[in-house]
Amino acid sequence: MTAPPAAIELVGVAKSYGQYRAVDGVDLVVPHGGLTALIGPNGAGKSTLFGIVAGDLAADTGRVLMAGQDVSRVTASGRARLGLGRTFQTARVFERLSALENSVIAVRAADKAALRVTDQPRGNRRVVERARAGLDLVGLGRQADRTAALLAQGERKRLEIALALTARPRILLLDEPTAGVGREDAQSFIRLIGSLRAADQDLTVLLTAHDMDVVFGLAETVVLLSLGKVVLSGSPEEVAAAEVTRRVYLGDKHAITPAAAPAGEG
Amino acid sequence: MPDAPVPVATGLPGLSRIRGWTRWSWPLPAVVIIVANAIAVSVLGGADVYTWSLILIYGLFASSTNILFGWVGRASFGQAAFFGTGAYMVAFLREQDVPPLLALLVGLGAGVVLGIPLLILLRRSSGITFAMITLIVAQIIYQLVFTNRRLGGETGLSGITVTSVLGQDLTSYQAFSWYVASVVAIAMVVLWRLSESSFGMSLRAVRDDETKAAIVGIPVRRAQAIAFLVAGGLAGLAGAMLAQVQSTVSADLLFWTVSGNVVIMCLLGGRYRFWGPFLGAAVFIWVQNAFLQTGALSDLLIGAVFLVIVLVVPDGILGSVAPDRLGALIRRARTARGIGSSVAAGPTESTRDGDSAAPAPQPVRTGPDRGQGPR
Repeated sequence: MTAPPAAIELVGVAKSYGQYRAVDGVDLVVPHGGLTALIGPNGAGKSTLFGIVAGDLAADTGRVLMAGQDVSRVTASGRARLGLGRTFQTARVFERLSALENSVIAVRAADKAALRVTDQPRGNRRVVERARAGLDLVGLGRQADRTAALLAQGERKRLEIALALTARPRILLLDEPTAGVGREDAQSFIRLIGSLRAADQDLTVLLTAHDMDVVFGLAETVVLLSLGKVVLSGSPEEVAAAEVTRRVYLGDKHAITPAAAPAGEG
Repeated sequence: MPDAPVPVATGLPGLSRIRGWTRWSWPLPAVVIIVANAIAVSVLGGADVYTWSLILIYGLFASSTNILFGWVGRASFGQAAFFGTGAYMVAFLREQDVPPLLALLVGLGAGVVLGIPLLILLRRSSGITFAMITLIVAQIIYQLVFTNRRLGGETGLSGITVTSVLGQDLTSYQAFSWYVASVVAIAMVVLWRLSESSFGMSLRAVRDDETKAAIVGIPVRRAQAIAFLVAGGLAGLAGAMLAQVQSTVSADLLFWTVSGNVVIMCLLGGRYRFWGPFLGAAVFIWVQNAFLQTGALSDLLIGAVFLVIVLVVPDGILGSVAPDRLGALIRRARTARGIGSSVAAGPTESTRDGDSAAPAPQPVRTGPDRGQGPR
């Protein structure tokens, strides 16, 4: 049996903002079915690299492959159709709609029925049940009728994951999944991701994180970025033990300790 | 914590939680219109019934405009072009022996057809460019009509007579009002079905976050285009009705202030509510009539009234009576009187906000805080 191709592969990816080389020739392989964490101090290029994978940003040079297919010129929504689910650092949901309505919309869009004018999704038991199941999966069942704008930050992040999972993505991109949420929320988030992966061995997850609880609690591969380059890549233990990790993080208050506080990237 | 502006879902969020609501509610808009018309016809006399017919027509026009403004989140300042085109279509057909109902369909079709070239101009436009392009194109159409002799130029066309429909005599104001109400009722049922369909929900998703909607898998551009054509068609239908009611049309119907007025109607009534624009149209026309006698001051007074309404209820009259918002008001009142301390101890927004570890929920773009305490 041949191994499936890498879920994501970056080949010589570079991106500059004027003189500033945010991502400076990155080669990266995200193995199928694994969980890979991108870490690095502020300004290391995590967000830029993440945007390039998601399709928000176009790389100046280099290629992005998804399951062996070159998607360098595919838009963010096109990549979504190819099986890429993602969340944003600040959760993006449909603010004026209830959590359930958010989920119903995702269900209909996944069915390719988003523009149907003859159906009544809120009166369709099968649609509503699927939408509810999506919310239950992320523990939002009891908040179903709450307007998304009134959900707490952690709940919004969960809702966003529910929306992403509705389309049954093969790859899940999580940008700072625990930034801006309390410690308890972060812990339950780690359990949630763990259970999602346990339920689907083929799901590949790529995340960026400042929160070392997330990195060491979940990741199988940790990729350390610094100044736009991959400095080190390996198991969490290897990366934590490496001298270079300490040096790169030196002077950064988010030193690598499991107790590090979550922080947003500037 | 400042009283968070309570955003509202579609239609009537409180009722929509009733089991089977969506499936059985479809004739409701027709019932509302028909009952309102029955009351209006029996209570009001002569000229007031005529005004009521205008309210029905502008209610439909505002509701169609709200497909763009409230559902898609795009303010068009050119809907008068569709409205006027529908009206002129009926006027144009006045000498042919076209049945009135068919003339209405022609007006509807004209609105859709006019939307197609506009869509090409509006491709890739967003927010302010959308508003400007719709405004400019509508003004160009106004100028073309205004200077066209065949269309009657400044004075317009007159002599549109509708005396009977489907064998029913329409010579009294009352009978005519029933004709208008029937057509508007059907249109509102269609609009309600659209609003509750996957399409309607997708439009609201697009309104809230275009990028996110695309990522979720909604064909955003196509959704916006269809919404634009539907809005244009229904505006054309409303215009066609107006021509039949007034029996004359003039270039005024295409002027940009007409477009602006329907946007104000949506704001007044509440653009996030199904009935908001309709109510807004009623309030608008009623206030306008009430100040008609005040002469030169009338525009100023009307403007002042609308300004006050929009300041007091930024989400519109219906937007402010959302069930969840009423709940918040009651909770606040009880807390103020010291009854609600046990309620406030629950996991409400206010306690969550006090948790310093978790930043407050993201603010929402729903207008200014309305502050605490009684107004």
